[in-house]
Amino acid sequence: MNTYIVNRMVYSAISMVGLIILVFFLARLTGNPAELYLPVDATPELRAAFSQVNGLDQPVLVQFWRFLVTLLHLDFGNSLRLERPALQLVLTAFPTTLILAFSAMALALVVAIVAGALAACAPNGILDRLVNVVSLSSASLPNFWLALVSILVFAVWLKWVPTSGTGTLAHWILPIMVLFARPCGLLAQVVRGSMIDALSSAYVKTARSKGVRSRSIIFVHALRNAMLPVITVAGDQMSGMINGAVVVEVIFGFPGIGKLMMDSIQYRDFAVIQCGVIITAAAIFLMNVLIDFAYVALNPRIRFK
Amino acid sequence: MPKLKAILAGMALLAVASAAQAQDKSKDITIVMPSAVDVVEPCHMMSTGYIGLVLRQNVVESLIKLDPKDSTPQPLLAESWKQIDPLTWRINLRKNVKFQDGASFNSAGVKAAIDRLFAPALLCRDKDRLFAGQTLEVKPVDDLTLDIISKQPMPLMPLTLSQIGITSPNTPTTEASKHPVGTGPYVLTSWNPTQSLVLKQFDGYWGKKPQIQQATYVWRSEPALRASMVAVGEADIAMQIAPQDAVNPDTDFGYLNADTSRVRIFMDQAPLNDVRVRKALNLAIDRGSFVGTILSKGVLPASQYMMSNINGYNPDLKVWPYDAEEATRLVEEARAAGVPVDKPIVMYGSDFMLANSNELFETLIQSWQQIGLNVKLEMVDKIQLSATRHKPFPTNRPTPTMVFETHDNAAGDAFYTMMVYYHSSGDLSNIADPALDKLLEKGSTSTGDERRKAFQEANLKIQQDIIPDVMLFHLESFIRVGPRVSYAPDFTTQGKLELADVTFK
Repeated sequence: MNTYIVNRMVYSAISMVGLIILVFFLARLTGNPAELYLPVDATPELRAAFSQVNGLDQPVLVQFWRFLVTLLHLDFGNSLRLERPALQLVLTAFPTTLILAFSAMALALVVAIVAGALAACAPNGILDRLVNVVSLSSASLPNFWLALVSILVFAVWLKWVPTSGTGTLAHWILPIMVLFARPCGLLAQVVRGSMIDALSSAYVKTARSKGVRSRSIIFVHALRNAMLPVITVAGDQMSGMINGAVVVEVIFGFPGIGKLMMDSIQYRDFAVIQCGVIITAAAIFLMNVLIDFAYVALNPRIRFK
Repeated sequence: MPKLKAILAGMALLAVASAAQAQDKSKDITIVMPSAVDVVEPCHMMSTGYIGLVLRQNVVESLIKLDPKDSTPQPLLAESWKQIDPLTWRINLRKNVKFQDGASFNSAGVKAAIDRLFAPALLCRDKDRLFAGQTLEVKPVDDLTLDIISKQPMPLMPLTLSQIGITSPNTPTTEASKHPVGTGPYVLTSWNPTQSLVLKQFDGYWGKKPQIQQATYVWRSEPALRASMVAVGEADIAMQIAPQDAVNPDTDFGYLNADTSRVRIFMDQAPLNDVRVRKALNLAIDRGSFVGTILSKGVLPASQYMMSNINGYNPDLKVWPYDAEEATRLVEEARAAGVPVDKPIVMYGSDFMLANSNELFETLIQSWQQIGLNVKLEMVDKIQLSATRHKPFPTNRPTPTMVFETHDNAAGDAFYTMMVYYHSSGDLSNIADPALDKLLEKGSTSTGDERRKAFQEANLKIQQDIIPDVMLFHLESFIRVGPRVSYAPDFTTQGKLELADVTFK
């Protein structure tokens, strides 16, 4: 297992280096941030001073070398926009996104597994058709539309929850529900398909002939075997959320990593973009390792190599 | 069933909690803005609208303020001022004023505040805009009197001083301030650049106490959400709501902001170097047809690049009429004279600029194509658009170019528009006309009627002889004001929202 983890770390480090190079140079291809930070009628002297103070007057390779040197000291530099250390900004925003993502995903997994499993018990039955329609709809709805409509319905018309912002538990309800919809729909579809396969397999027929209770067959024997594709899809969805639930965070004014990255890209805040990408990539690496462990736990035939 | 009841009860509790929060009856208000207040450095507040919106005259006051009706200078921290020689202005300060940190407001404090604008480490944007190529020496005469001596004559000194915030002498000069301190009626008590900013009433304020006790500023990028926040009572004022959301005449108000839009013509290449083609570009636009359709009802077709309340505006200049036939004739005349009118022309635009900008651009392009010009739209992002607008301009453009742009002049004088956009030395000017330069220089160094007439004459020359642009509209913004408070926006509201002007009903 130790060898496996070391190998994963080496591969991830190689990917990370590629990512850093790509992000560093691509971001700088998009233009000089002085165009955004200074008024359009700024004098050439002010533009030159701005570039010099922020090291933007140096050749890009020199800038990259400086970045690498400071990175070795875990110094990601200062945000151009917020004039604070980039690492501090990213680490402050990250927990908000993690809470949003884990809450939405936990809820989505529970609902999808129960709904998908029950639907698979009677394919083409009423419950199955209902689960199909609802899950396909929720998987297809664009987040921005769902967010705006849910604000209109639950915050403006019904006044059950606040429209946006943070501060109380009530502020979390709409963002989590909006974020929950898409993965829940997708996962319900995967659980249903996977469970239909599992329920028609030989070991389930044997269990039924031995008189094992239906509930045990569905939720203990079949579900465990049907979980592998579910974990794969859930992991993929989770990566997307950790990358930043951008639309949800921007619309609801949630100070998470998605909103921070969105603003940083818009304002060419290079230090924050680089730091955000590296921290997010590390989190996704960690999550992928955990998913691999989950595979092994669920299926003893899978072994670390 | 019991579980369902428990969930419903929980939601009801949350609803009560949020409703209680919304129905706050205190003297506090919440203002929701479109963009984050990520910088609070007062020496950028004129050049960066959202900083000014929060700080100007709330936290940091100026020596002089402008009357929004006619842009005339009025006393604020200065009680009086006069020019004692061409280079020197004498300022008499108000007494019994304290900064919010306890420092005395006196001539030494004002000197420190003005000197701070020139501190190299701050890269002060307002200094760059107001004093480019200029140096100031501030000499205290006594505790409440000081002389401001400029290297070159500054007849606009009172207007310039209305745009400078006087900060406490304890404000750092080596880094941007994260806690600005001034003499205003409000103190900045908390600021989280990712979430909110809070101003609280300053007990030691020298003037009349405003009604608002505390103002919390939050930011949401989605205009419909900002409007909804006022509708449900989470906010009292929503800045810049979308025209389509401004549907309630009791709460939603349109106002002419200081922005004027135009298409700038780069006259360095054929066919745009031909004045007949530039006239045709103007005559081809039916400006009236945009009002109340693609643009909101309150926009005004513009005849020049400033509002009518700006000193130097020429009331005799009329908006270009719509005359497609004459435009077509001019294009054909140019073609007959050998001008390559079929050459592709690129117009740069960007969709962040105003509501329905895409529809506006497409209609403009279509109008020009109908008179026989080959104009194409190229959408670029903010950074690229900015780079096309200022010097140094690219010398080897592959095609003749135009660019859609907006400009705001809330400073009260034509100088702030015309020297930048039309004088040959202006950073945004692509005109080099010695006669025009002379007129503009005359305007910028004179005062009173002579000044106004010089700028008016320059405006006439620009729009009738040179025709370097397709002047479009004075633009409208919308604000939603909740039922608890009253506030009347004006053309300065984009860059300044004085909490003293907000009252409870």
